[in-house]
Amino acid sequence: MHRCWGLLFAAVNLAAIGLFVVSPAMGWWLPRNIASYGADIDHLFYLILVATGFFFVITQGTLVYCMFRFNAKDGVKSKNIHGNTKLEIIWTAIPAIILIYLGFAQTPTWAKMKYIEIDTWFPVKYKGTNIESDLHVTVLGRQWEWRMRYPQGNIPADPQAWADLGNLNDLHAVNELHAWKDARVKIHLKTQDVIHSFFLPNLRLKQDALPGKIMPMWFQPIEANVRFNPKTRMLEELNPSSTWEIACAELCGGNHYRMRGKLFVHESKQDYERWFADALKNQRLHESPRVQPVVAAGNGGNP
Amino acid sequence: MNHDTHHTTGSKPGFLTSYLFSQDHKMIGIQFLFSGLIFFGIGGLLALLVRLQLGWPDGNLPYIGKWFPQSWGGKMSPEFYTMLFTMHASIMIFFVIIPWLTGTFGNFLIPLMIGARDMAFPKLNMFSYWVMWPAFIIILASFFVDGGAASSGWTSYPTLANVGAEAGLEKLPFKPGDAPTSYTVFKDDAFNSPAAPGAGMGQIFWLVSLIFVGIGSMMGSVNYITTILNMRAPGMDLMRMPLTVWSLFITAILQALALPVLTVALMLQLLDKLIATNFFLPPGGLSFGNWHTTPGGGQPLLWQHLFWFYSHPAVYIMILPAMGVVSDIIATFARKPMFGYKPMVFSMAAIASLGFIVWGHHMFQSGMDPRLGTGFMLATILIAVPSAIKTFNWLATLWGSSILYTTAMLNALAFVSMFVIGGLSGIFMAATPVDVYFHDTYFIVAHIHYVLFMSSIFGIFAGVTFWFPKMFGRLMNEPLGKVHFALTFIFGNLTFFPMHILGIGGHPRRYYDPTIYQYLENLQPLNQFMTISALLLGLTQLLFVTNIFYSLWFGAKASKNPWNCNTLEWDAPSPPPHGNFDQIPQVQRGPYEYAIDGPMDHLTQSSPAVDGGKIHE
Repeated sequence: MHRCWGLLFAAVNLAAIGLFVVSPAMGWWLPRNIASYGADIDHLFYLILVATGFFFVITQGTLVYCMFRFNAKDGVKSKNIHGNTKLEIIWTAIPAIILIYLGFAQTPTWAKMKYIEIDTWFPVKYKGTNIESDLHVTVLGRQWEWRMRYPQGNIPADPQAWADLGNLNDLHAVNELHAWKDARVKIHLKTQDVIHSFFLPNLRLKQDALPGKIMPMWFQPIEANVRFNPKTRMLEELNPSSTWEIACAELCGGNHYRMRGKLFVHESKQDYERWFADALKNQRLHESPRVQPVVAAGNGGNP
Repeated sequence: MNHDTHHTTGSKPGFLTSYLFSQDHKMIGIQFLFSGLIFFGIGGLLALLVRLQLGWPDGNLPYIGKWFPQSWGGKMSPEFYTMLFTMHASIMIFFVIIPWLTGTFGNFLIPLMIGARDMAFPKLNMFSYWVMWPAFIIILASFFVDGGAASSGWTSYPTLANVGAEAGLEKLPFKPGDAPTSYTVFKDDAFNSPAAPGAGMGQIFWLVSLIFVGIGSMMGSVNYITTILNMRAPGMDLMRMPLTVWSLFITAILQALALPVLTVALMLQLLDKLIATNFFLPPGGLSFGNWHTTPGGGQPLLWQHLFWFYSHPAVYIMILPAMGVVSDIIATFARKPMFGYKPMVFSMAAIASLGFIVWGHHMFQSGMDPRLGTGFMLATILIAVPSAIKTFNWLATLWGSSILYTTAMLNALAFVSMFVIGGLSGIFMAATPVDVYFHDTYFIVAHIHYVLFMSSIFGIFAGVTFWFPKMFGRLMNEPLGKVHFALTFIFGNLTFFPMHILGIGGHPRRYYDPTIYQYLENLQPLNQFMTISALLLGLTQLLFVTNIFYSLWFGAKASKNPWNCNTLEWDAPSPPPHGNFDQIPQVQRGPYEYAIDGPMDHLTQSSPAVDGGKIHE
């Protein structure tokens, strides 16, 4: 009977390993990475997967072995052992070394994502929001959509003031984030009501929008998925399977799940600018005094 | 001395004082056990409704669809769904796991295991249970208030949770040309919130209920600390205490230090909602459609700091007692001394103290300074070291042992196995860049369920089975217990393990309908599989309830020490009378003297030394 229990534990653990083996083949895995720092993140993920996988196999293997091997038999007593200092030191030191290595291995990536420039170990110099970028976008979360604002000329004169107040000639869009391949995009993330979280799975990027604050985030897409066709004035997908979505990752009310947006990465800066000019022209048509403003309607007077 | 005479010579208590308003620590522990069982059922049903929605997001629900208001068309509404998972988590954490671990095990075991006649403050102990009742009633009543129960997640982040109509909300006058919007949805009522229907009255009920829970746990933890420090039997040095008592002691310290912070934060949020303070409302105000709050002066992030300053230690409050319980059960049924008793104690202390400086790892994406994140990351990574030490010591205890596969032992072994999974998945989230991706996805849901369900609940099953004969004088049914264990182990893993994969696929948590996302579409079969497993897992728990009630009346009569265990509670009769021991035991040695030479294979803590008994101190 005792062997059955060992088998049960072995089977469950093997099934767990099995699921991790088949999942990538089933497409149940990380979405395609398109961020410049995404490879670093995925690398770290696999590094931790290997380390944890190693300890998983060792500990579960030992447990299952013990369950098979050491069971009560008449007249056989356990060993009366209360501990072993050497062993304790070994199994404290080895995980500690591996974990501290993992801790330090991830700091450069974190610094890269969060603009911390590490000159020396201490003190760390914080670049803050002054990172060089090719495109600024303000993203405003509200229940339940993302409102994007693009500046004319891609980079506003005073990014902070622009992120706060905006310009009259900004381009507005809802749930559509546009950028171009290899552009360093700076996002100014805002919210007008509750906390939202701007989640771009393909960019391995997520940031909470905090009421009352403008949160900086940046990314650089290394792949394009759309081209603007000036004739049809439509976006054309380069590859039918490359839909990159935006989601909200922080509970923001009943329709939290519906804050779905799309990320459009244009082939080139020129292509983005063609789209921008066309969209802005379209927006101005609707902004003429005789026509109802499209973007501002229902926004409670909040531009 | 007075206390002792009260117990031995006091008049026989009546029904009310012995079963309801009892000051006996054992009865209070049992009260926590049964109220926890009721809420385990309620919390479980809420979880199954969540799973139903996730498995078939667009399907109309058969049978239960009829319970929903007609306007919902046989489906649950998204707002109802947010309420479900909010209440599931709140109930499971604050009304099941913490009361079971600290309330049941803490109350029942501490005096018995340290050789005391009762708690240091029996009356305070009674209050610690009875302030739970306002909490029980308020949390259950909150399902029926206007707008439904709380729906802002068990974390209740402002500003979703704390905006109330009272909080300076005003409607701006229309500008000509503005399209009419749905401003009339919210009644002009102080208890409604424009953020979410459940963020109004339901949220207020939630806050008040948890304040009561906080006060109750506070009373309990003060009592545990005092009892353990002052009322140990002669010879019971701190380093002779069973690991269960150590874990409850450390947990009580954690609770006493961290819980006031949560209670105060809850009060601050309540003030925000009721009298328009602005602790968590930002300067600049907020807009909900045509509703605007007046400028505040607070900071939404402050809540997250205060909340996690408690709620991260709370994670350890919810696992440390289970670790202690499991350690004792493993040593008993492995018939082998606990390997590395001192490292086990120190690693628990290390987990507890590191547990106070890791709360920021819940906030890597919250807008907290990223440099601060690095510090929290290092502390979090380090907390895996004492957890690893504990795991290795459990395994070393099993090595060379002779295992008896009782139900309690199987549940304890499952705890070790599942805690490894829950612990290892934590390392992914501790790594800040990886957490950017995994934060708020199903990976974290998998992690929390491996720690809280697959670990803590297995620890609780183990403990209840193990001490049931001491509580009620009868043994739980072993075959039924084993079937319950095997099915829970299988269906639990089938339910929760695929959540890791969902998380890797980027499936965000708290989604009413993930299928509207293209990148989540092919994960839907997994969701349906997990829902079916969860339903079976839920059904399996009926076996546990059946076993408890069957064994209460029909279980085999238990002897004083049915498991041949060493700790002091087994010196007392089963069940122990008021006052516990005929005579306060004299403690001779540590609790883990198994596999010794001599006629018996073990020496209880109180038995006088036997000739030839080889004792390792």
